[in-house]
Amino acid sequence: MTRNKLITFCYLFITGIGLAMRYTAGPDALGWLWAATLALAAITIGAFILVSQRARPAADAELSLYGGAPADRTQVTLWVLLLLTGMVFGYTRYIAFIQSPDTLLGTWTHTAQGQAWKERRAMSTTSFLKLKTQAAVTEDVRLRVVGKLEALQPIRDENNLPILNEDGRWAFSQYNLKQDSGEITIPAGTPANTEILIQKPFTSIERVEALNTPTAPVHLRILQPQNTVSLFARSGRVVVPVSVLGRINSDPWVYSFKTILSVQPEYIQYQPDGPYFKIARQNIRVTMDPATPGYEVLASSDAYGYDIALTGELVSAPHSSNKAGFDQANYLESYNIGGQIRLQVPRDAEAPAPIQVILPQGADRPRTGNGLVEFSLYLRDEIVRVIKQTTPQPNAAFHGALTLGLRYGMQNTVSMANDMYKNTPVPPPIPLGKHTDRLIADEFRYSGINHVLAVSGLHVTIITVMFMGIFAMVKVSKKVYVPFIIFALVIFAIITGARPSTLRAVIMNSLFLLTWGYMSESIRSSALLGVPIAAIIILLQNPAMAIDPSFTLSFGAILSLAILTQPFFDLFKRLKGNDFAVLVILLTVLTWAFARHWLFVTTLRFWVFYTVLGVVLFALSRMLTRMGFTPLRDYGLANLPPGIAGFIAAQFGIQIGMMVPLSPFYFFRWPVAGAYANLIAIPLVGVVLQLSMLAGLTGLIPGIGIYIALFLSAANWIFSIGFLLIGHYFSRWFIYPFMTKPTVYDLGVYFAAVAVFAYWRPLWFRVVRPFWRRASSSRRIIACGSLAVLLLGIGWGCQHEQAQMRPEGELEISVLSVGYASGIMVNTPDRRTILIDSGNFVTSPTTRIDAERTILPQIFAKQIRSLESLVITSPAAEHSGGIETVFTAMDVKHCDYPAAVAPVLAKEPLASILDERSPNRIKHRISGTTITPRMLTAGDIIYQTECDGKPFIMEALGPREGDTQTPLSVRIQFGDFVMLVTSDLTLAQQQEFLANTPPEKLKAQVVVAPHHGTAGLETVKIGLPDAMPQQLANITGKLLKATEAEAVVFEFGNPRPVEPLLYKVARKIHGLTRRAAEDALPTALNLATDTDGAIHIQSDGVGYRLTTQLSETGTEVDEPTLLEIGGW
Amino acid sequence: MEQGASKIARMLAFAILFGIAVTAFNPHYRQAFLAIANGTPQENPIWQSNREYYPDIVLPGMPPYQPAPSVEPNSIPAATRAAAQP
Repeated sequence: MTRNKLITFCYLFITGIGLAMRYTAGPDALGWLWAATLALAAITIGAFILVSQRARPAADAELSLYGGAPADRTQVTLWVLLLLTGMVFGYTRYIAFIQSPDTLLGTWTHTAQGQAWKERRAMSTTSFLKLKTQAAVTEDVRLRVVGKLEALQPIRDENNLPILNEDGRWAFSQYNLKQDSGEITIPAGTPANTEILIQKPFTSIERVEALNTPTAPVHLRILQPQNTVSLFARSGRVVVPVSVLGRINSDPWVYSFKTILSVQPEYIQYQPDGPYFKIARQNIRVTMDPATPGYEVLASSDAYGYDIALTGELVSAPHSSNKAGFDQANYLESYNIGGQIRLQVPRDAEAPAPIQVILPQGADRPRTGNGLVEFSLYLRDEIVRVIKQTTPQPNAAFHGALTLGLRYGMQNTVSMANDMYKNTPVPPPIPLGKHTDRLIADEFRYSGINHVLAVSGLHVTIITVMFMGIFAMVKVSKKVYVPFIIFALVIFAIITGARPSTLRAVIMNSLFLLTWGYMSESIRSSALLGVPIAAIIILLQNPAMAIDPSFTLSFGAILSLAILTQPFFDLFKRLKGNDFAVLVILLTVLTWAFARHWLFVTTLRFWVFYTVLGVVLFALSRMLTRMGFTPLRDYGLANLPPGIAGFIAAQFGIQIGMMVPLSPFYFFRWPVAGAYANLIAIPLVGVVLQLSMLAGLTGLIPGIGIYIALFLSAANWIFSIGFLLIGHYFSRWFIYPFMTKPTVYDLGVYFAAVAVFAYWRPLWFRVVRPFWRRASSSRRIIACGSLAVLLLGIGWGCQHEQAQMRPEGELEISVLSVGYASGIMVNTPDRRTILIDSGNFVTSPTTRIDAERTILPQIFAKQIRSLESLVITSPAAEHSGGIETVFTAMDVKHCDYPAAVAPVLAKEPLASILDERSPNRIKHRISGTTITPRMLTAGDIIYQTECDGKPFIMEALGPREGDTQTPLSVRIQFGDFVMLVTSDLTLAQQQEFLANTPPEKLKAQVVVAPHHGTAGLETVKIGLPDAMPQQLANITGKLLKATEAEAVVFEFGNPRPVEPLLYKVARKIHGLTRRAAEDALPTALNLATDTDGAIHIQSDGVGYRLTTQLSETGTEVDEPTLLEIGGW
Repeated sequence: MEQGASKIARMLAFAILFGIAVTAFNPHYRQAFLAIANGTPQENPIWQSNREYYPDIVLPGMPPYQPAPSVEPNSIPAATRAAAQP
């Protein structure tokens, strides 16, 4: 197989995975897919053998596809077969990865002639059963399954611990029992292909019995589901504990306040005293508190490989409670984790420990894991010990993360510019002046140098070069040392956790070393071959990684480097003399705009100005050159040392090829400072990493080693302080702006444009120019027309995507799930956006800014660049905490607030922001990003428009004129649909609001309950007053009844950050308020953002549709959460 | 490759010399050097600054890591909690 075919095969494999993610086939198709893959593979291999036996030079095949001789049919057929095989293989592998294949045990039919159970296959192990309807069920079917259960119970020793044999197998007693599923009812109306899980364990099936006689024929399949961890994980808050026998299969993550273990379960007992199930795949993530008995034994690298028995609540990870939020369930699934257990610390000292290390019989110590991994972890701990002795904090945390991938050691490490370091045993030698509470990791993120903490190609390449240099220094032949370096890289990958980026880099560097050491290949050609091969190796093992940021960004970076560096270098080196000066001026202007006025950069008027400026300056440059005024002569990028010039071009390549499109796609943000900070940070990290690695390794030499390590670390301390300062200052100088998230379609268009830029030469010289010269004028016209149609189609596609995201003529409201805080996004029927409240700003125990974490991602995911208004209803932090974040992130036309919020806006830094962006100031008038503050009272209109003859009005219902205490209440009306937002009204304010608002204005289909459902808390000093339930019924219940709402929404979450002393009372009041709401509006839906996730409401002005986020993501919810009324 | 090797050798030599200078002039590094030389590495101020960093990794001869149990805010007496409020 030739090189190009191999590369293309790998990329088509990835394309197949992409198709499988978009168009996912069910588990039934898996057998067919594997058959198709094998058949295609056999045909392709056969075809290749056949063709290779023909006497034909291989080079012809390559030529034919790259423009030389015309392609012959055999070669084209080979290519098509190869591409098809790659794609089908990728598709099949992904489906096989995500679908737990159910085994068909048999079919059961019930007809007028009687019933028949036809067994296809015996059960392989004890498991639950699944029934699957083959056709729609027209009347109730009642049946039961009868079979046997070979129940396994572990044999226990005198300490009541399960016994592990010498060979590492758990010892069980087997009890053979009869098993009966009990009565199963399949209700009439059940559609075809519906699956019903029978949560009773079976080891074999004897028969299926009908318990009624349905007149219509019934066809059912009985399946055996695979025993994955997720099958046994339950959702909800309080679940029945399970018992697990398994093994710790990776290095524990030890924090100062908890330890996380990855456990590979071998057996799970689902119900107390129930049988143990043998587990086929997936791991469990176990979190331990330091108070857990035996914690010190398990909170250490030594615990890798230990056999353990544990008991705890196995819960499935939650899906995202907001549309653009982090989906923990998907994330863990892609890392093969099927459930989580948080071990409960026993209250009684006599109670058995929730986790026990089990020793094999006759052994005096637990089993250990894989020898190579054990050695790697030992080496890592020894290097950490050296770092702890030779490098002070916070540099030690940075060196640990950089050299050993210990990122979780940096999680709470605050910036070097924090005053606390002045009082540490080793204060920094340079006074940093400014105080900040930011974490170093955040500073790195803001300044775009966070990638150094993800062990990737940069690290592996630096280490490879370091070892190559050391071996060359001692005059060892490269053919001898290449295997040693590859072994060292493997150890390094294990030490750093074998993340996708590290694996990619290690595979690529190993390929490079092999081809360079034994085949004398160039670096670039090694990279182009190594990237797809490394990708296919990683994806074969875990195809879900294809969309994981660590995988995509790592491969994006290396491809950008390999493909885009040269085109940028070629482009820039053409700019000499005056043109080079123009390039520098243009880059300076762009840098100024990035640093000083980001909002201007996001406007069309900036880019028009910038383009005009560029055209004028280049014209001036040409004119001056013609006049002979060339002060720089022929100076240009090509005159810089090749290393520096290439490095600058590579930075452009990475930004354009990877950061600009993919950073907003994954994180909604682009670290603009990264383009500049990396020019210094990347060379510096080469020094810091090498010195840190050398210090760590030399420190292992007994005797003199620790002294050499101390000297190397002392020097490195200074360099790494420089690195930390880069992170600190660049994060201060530049903002970390939000950007609209591109859709997959946008990314496709973008990368197609980038590919045209990268390959314009072959495109132009091999395709366009020869065609243009040969073509007749009619063909030229057709080609130009086709190109125009293509461009118009692309433009239409972009518009269509946006229109689908925010349809015209439709009101969309999302009550976001931001804990005990408020954030409501309103998309008006004329496609404008209004944000009601900005979420909370919590600083303890960790900083959490709802606006940054939840609200702005929702907005930018919908490609919204500008807010018509930010409405702040209450001065409370849970409503106003994110104002500054929203103001600095985007264009906000108006800021609407009641008098009660005025003091908040008068405080710094909001006062300065409002002053700077006042309509009187020229800077923001130029960019069109001014903010107009408006103080509202009852009756004021926030926004109104009309769509298809239906009015949209958003108005204030309160407070009254002169009231400086009451929060703002908002009424949103579109046609016949009305929604009411009552903000933080206290009980007294609710009474006043009810008395002063015209009853017809109170009527609404959906109402957001006042004060998160905890109104009345303001009157509580200690404990819950006895009169509270009655008060809530009389006041909040009365208000809700007056609205006649069909759905009541509670913006609720953990009240502890807001009410640290009264949070338990707040929870109780919330429960009482929900009961009062149920009593007042017995037929209304009663929803809360803590249990249902974000609440989405869409209305066309006639009817409306209400959905909840967690029901959309498939998470189990307690109540029906879909309400459709009117025209939907 | 020979050029790369000599570069690394030069960098190493420079780093060691520079490190010796830092150790000589910075009192904390000096104390660290003396603590190691005197066989009392636990008195090394650098080690002390890293007490909370990977606490499970300790020096040879030191007692194994004993984690401090986490404190539930509710278990703090109300008076103490009130006194701790700013």
